[in-house]
Amino acid sequence: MKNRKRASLLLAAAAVVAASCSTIEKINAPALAPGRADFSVVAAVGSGITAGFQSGGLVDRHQTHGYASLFAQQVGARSLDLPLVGGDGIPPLLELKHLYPPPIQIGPISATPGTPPDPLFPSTYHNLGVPGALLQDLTDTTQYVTNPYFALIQRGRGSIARQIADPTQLNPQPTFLLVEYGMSDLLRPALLGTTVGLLSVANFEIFFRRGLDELATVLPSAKLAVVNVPDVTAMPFFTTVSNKQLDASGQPVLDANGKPKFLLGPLFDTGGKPLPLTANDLVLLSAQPQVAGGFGYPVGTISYLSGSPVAGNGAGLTDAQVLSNSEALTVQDRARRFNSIIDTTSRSAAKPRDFATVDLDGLLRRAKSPGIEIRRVFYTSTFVTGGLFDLAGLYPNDLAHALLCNEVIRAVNAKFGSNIQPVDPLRFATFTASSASGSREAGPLPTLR
Amino acid sequence: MRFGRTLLAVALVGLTLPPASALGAGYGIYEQGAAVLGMGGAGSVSVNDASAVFFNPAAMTGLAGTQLYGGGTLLQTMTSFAGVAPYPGFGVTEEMEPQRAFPANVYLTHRYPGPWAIGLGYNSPFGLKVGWKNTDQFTGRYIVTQAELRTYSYSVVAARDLGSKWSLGFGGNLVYTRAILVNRHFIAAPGGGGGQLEVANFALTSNVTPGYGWNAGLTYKPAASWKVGATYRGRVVVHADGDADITQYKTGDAQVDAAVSASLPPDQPASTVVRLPAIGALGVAWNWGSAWTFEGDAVYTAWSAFEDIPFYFQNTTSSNERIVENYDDSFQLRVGAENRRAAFTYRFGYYFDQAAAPTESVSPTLPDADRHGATLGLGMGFGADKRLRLDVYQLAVFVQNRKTEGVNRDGYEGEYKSFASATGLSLAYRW
Repeated sequence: MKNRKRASLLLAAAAVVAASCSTIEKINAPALAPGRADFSVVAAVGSGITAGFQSGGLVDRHQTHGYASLFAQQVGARSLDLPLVGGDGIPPLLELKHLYPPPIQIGPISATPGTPPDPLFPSTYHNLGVPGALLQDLTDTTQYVTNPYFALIQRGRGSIARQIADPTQLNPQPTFLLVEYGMSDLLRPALLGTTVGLLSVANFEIFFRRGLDELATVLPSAKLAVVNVPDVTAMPFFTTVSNKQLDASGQPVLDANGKPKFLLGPLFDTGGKPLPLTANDLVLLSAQPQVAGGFGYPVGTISYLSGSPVAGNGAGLTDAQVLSNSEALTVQDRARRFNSIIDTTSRSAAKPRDFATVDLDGLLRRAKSPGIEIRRVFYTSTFVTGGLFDLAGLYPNDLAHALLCNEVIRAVNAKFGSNIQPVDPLRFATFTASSASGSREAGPLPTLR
Repeated sequence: MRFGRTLLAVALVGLTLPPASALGAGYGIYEQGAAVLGMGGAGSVSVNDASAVFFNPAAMTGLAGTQLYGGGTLLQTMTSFAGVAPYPGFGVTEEMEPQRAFPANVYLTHRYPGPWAIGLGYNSPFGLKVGWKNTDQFTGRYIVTQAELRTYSYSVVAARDLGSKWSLGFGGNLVYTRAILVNRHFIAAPGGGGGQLEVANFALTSNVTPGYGWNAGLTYKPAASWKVGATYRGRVVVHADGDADITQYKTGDAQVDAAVSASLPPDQPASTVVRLPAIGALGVAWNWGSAWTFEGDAVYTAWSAFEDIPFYFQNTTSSNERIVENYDDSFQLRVGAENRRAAFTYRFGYYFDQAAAPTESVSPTLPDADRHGATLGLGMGFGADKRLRLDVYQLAVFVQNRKTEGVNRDGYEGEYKSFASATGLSLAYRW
């Protein structure tokens, strides 16, 4: 009896040691716990980000890697019906023509527009993101004729808010809706170097509440995630071209006092000569060819931006090529106030709809400084080499869409108590911003065409 | 003198042996004497061999004559990892090469007539050895493929019987360290899509560099069957020079390779800082008759000293790196017993060793976790007066699985499982 007990003890000890010595079992993904939300049918409404617009165009290889599609995959929803554009995109996307040695050269892939989505596609698309769509377009169709993408995506089927909820057009109806507006409201005037036409704070609040009310009416049981509004002036389009005169090594040219010399801007002195820009004026990326051609450089100075010395022509940059400091501050303040309205509405007991707030603005701020670290590599909002933006310096690339998807997941999990697993962002990263993971353009990494 | 030469010889042999994989929290190695370890490492008061140089120098006043104690421990660790989202993802498993090491230790004490005793010691109180399988495919290779920390500690201690049942010990430590970290370097593809390119192998190796510390101990015997003690080993910080060897991997694209080459630092001298934390212990021992001794120790390690692993490049300071660790101070509870019979001495013990790494810092370099250790030990004397003694012990360390909980600093998420065992022996001789 005693021996049997001893043997049992020894066996038990051996079993414990053996179990401890074994290697770990693989971990399987947990089953989705949706919490208070229902993810069976996901849909999205919004502007160019939601549409998957990148590098100057709309094309299937990026549309399918948009944050909304990634989110739908992660929650196991039915895949989103998208207004897919084939070929080289509409319009043809930009591509990287030359990388090293600098300067980087970018141009259209081709002159041939891609294949538009099937106009006879029977139902409403799950993704009604429209490049350039404004907040008021969610409920108001009056501006649709001014934006050709509505014809491709909305197709005259009523307002975005009505269409996405109409069971005769989309059945079953969405149970979870991603809402992203406001960026185009800031971007449209800012791209032209102005704040004229910028959406007012009061109107943002009116349109935002109207949109939520409308969605609450047409989709009473669906849960929402609202993407907030990014400070667009932090995007490479506004931060890439230096407002200073640069020497051949890319360093600022200094005056006799050791202070940098600025490019000539759109304002003139009393003698009609262009005045230099000030320290915080932003030169738009669209002005790069002109600056490379000697515009903004006083006579007797040299622009090296093209990679070859070009004599300054003494002409100042135009107002449409510069977002002045005061204009930039206005845009930044507007983004802050828009987001304040979103936050206030989110916390308000009288809000028409319970929604999660997705901090796209915070993501962009982190990209600007200090950068977003992924596996010990820092990604920033630096144009091209920063690794997060498209080749137009305006929209997130596929990697950044995956990061945005994870922001959505974080916000939704926190709000609704779900356990959606994050995506691995680098699965969607590519060599150049205009290629896509798994697409015919990707090729084996790395390749430059 | 003859024993001094023996000590030196054993120390030199120890230098040539590989270091230990860390068996304790962080990169601590408490396995420094077979008799004490047989009692679960609870020996800061009752230690009655020359390993008192390490465990509590004040206890040297209780050691008669001249005593030599030397040996080592065969350490074996096994670690595996299972990934979760977002990276490396569900279903991914990784395995570390089984690590084996035999760190040696040797101690010599001498009790003078009167109140004084002195001691010399050599051991490796800290160490780490990491090597993951299939390094070219290992999903955490951007963090580490291979890492080593070697320490060689030489101690000189003295102890004085203060009378009234008090003893005090103190001394200095000369600790040589050598650190190696090898990993793969990735960059964001310069084409703007964010894809990462594996562009180089970084190997950072420090020279064997000395650092200095001190230690002290105290024992008090309030009653015939009771004894209490405390010991402290001070922090050692080593500023070590070394070399950074960077090997570029070509991608096959001339433009990309040229851009990468322009961004990589060249081979150059580099330096780092190795921090060995302070350790304090409080213990109480009780003798039950003449055959039994029981002891309990609380050991506190000031791991908060391990803030980071910095790498300073001499020529390209923009390449400097700082791996944040921000460890927390941790404690161990050790209990053990010894039963002395005519032929053999039996020992057994248990300890709990609290993890020092915060969840954010749990990584393939240091998958730190709470540990439970169980030990069995045996001692036997030889000869008529048993001047020669052999102590052996077996330790099984049950390391709790550790999850990164989605907050790992390097974005390497999952769960680690480790097991460690140690088999040690020491030989003692007394004159």
